[in-house]
Amino acid sequence: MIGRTLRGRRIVILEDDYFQAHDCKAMLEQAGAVVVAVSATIPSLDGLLAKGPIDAVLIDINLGDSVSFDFARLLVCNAIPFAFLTGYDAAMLPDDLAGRAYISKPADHARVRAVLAEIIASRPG
Amino acid sequence: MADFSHDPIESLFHAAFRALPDAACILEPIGGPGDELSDWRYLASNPALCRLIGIDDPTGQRLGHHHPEAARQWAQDFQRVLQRGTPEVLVRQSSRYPQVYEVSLVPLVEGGRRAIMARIRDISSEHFARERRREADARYERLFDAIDEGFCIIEVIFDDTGKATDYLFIEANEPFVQHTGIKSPVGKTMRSFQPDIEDAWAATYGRIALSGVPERFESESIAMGRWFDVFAFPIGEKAPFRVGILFEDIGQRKTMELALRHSEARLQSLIEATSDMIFRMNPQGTLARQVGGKPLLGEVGEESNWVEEFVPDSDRAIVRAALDDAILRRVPIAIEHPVRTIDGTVRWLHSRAVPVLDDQGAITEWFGMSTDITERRSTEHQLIRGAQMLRVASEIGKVAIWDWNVETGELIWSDEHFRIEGYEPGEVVPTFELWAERVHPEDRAEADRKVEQAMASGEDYVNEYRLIQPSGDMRWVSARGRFIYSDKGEPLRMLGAMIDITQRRREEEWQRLLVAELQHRVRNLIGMVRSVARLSAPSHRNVNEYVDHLIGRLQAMGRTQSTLTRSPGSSVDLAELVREELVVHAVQPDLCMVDGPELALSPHAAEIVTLAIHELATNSVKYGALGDTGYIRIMWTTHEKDGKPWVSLRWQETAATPRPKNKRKGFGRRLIEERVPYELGGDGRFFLYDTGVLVELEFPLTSGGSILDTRSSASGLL
Repeated sequence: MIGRTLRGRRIVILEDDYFQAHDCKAMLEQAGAVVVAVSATIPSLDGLLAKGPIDAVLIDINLGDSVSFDFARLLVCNAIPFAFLTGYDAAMLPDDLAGRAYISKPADHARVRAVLAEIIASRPG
Repeated sequence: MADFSHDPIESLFHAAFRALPDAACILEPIGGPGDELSDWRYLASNPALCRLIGIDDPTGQRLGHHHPEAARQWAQDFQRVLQRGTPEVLVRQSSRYPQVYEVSLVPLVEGGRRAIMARIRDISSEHFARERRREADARYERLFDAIDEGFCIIEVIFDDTGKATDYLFIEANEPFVQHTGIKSPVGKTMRSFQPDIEDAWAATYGRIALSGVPERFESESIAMGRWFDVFAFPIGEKAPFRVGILFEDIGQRKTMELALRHSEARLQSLIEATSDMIFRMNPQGTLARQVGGKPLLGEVGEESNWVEEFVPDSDRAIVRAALDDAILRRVPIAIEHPVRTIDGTVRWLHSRAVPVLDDQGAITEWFGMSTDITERRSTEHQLIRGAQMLRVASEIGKVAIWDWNVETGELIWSDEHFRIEGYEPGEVVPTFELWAERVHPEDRAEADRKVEQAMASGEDYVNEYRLIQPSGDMRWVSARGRFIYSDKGEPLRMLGAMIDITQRRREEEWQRLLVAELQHRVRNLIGMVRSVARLSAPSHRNVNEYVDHLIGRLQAMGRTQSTLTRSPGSSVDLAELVREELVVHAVQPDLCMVDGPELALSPHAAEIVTLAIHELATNSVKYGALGDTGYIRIMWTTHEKDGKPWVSLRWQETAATPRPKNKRKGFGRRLIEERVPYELGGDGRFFLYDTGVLVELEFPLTSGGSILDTRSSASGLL
């Protein structure tokens, strides 16, 4: 059921650790999702959307030297579902992003898939 | 005389008439009844008359014959007496001489014949004597009325037994009324005014009236409610004398005297009762004598040189100087000084003395009092010491103190309070409003609420809040305060203390960030380990081999961490990193060459390079140059690319004998070819030659914090 939910979904991964990014990408592809992009830095949203729609984004809060909150806000503006996947506590989220989907590292694959399926399903519109 | 018959009786009367010592004459009006009176005719006269008016016997002559003007004057009087039929005594001044006459006119009616007998007496001497006496009386009267004292003359009334019972006022002057309150006393007795007048008064005056001895006395009349000062003296020739009384109502003076006496008595009581010492001192300020009050110096005897004997050596010069100055300037002195009393204890006195000056302004003596202020001084010292301790403690502890008078609004800040609020001590006048203004706007409502709550409940005010100094700097403070209430429970004051906890807050914040960062790192590390473990799995069918690889990789990661924590700086020396990794793999120094400029890597880059070297060394030991008698060169250089410094690192193996190729893209190769570009934004190339492996890594040098220097990233996160 979950597998079916993610099947064909176009997903972007923002993760600055290569191994984790790769691991995550492999897991999602195994679940039938299409990983549109994997990036260790904050990408251009317009550039990503130019390649096609995005169903969900997995975001690590700390991307090397930069922080991904502004990118998350940009996603909010574009009504693109996302989930934080991070080693930080949920309490570190700024007020306007508190309450957004959050997965604490280390997370098992099933949990990541479940959260992604949920935010895609409850996507507005 | 021919008109009178010469009978013997008549002759006798005639002789008597002529012998009268006074001038006498008988006159009858001329003209019958109803006729207009024109003159009077002498019917008879005596020699005395002739002598008086200087004429011969005028019998038969008309009055107007000798003295026409006198006739007119007298005619009226004669006629009046004759008509009225009653005698009159008149006093007439002579028209020609300074004589004064007493004229007695007696009407005579004898057988239808009417006449007037006039007897004339020269009373000039009596008259002038009386005039003189009257003038004297008038002068006395004026004198008596002019004096302020009351004056009266009395006649003492004695009863049958000879006891004086009352007295009659014969005369009294005007001030008499004001001194006694008795109006119009003359002719009345004392008891008619004051029936209950003390008997002693009449008795005293009776005694004087009988003895003729004047007396002076002061006495109170309770009946009259007055005090009198009296001088009573006898008047007259013989006893019982009249009594003259010169007196004064001294009630007011008496009242003042009594008041003065009471006041003196009170003053004396005060001096006796006071706990101060009253003393007198000679003009030179050397000899002093305790004259009353409490003997603060002990029982010191008559007189003593108090400065020399009782003031301790340490203070003697100061006291002496103050005293000499006061003597010189003749002004009161007030000093605080210690004394060593008779029993040897040292006490502190506050002594005041005023100079008593004579008419020339010279000091005759000093009068003064001393108060024992030992207790007060001790209390003051304790207060001062307490205040000093508080001040030092608050300064050392950097504790700000406030004292807010709720009623008046007055607010006192300690110096530290000014500093914490961002002012120089005393730079501004502290007010509640000023304090409120400095409180961070976001904390203001809560601060107000806590103050109000503390005021209403009586519980301590406890608050941690931010304040903004005038410069804009923000400080965190921790404040505790307590309200003080009146008996009625109204808040009077609020006392409190405050400390600057900005540093503590920062450290707490920093600690919180550190913990969060650590958590992040650990979780990330575990995530990474999981990924590494998973990625390591496909290349190993042999579990033992897999475990060896995995452990090797985890150890390499561990080494990176330990390197980072060992050097708390923000970077890792590349040469050191490489050598350490080679040492771990037991690479002999003669089998390798490490060469490159001194270079610091960011923690992230160091981690990846460590793992890369680990993988390459492991592979080399297993399959390549290090497993044989080969040789490895590890070299790096730096160059600039797109305005950033880049490092270019090369791993080159030279094997003595060709090694079998392992074409599979293993963990190490993926690390180099994929992870370097992915995470470091650089480039990784892996070449496998017969002679061995050639690896080229290129990536930009970025500075990055170690695990102990995550402040930048952590604070950036927030």
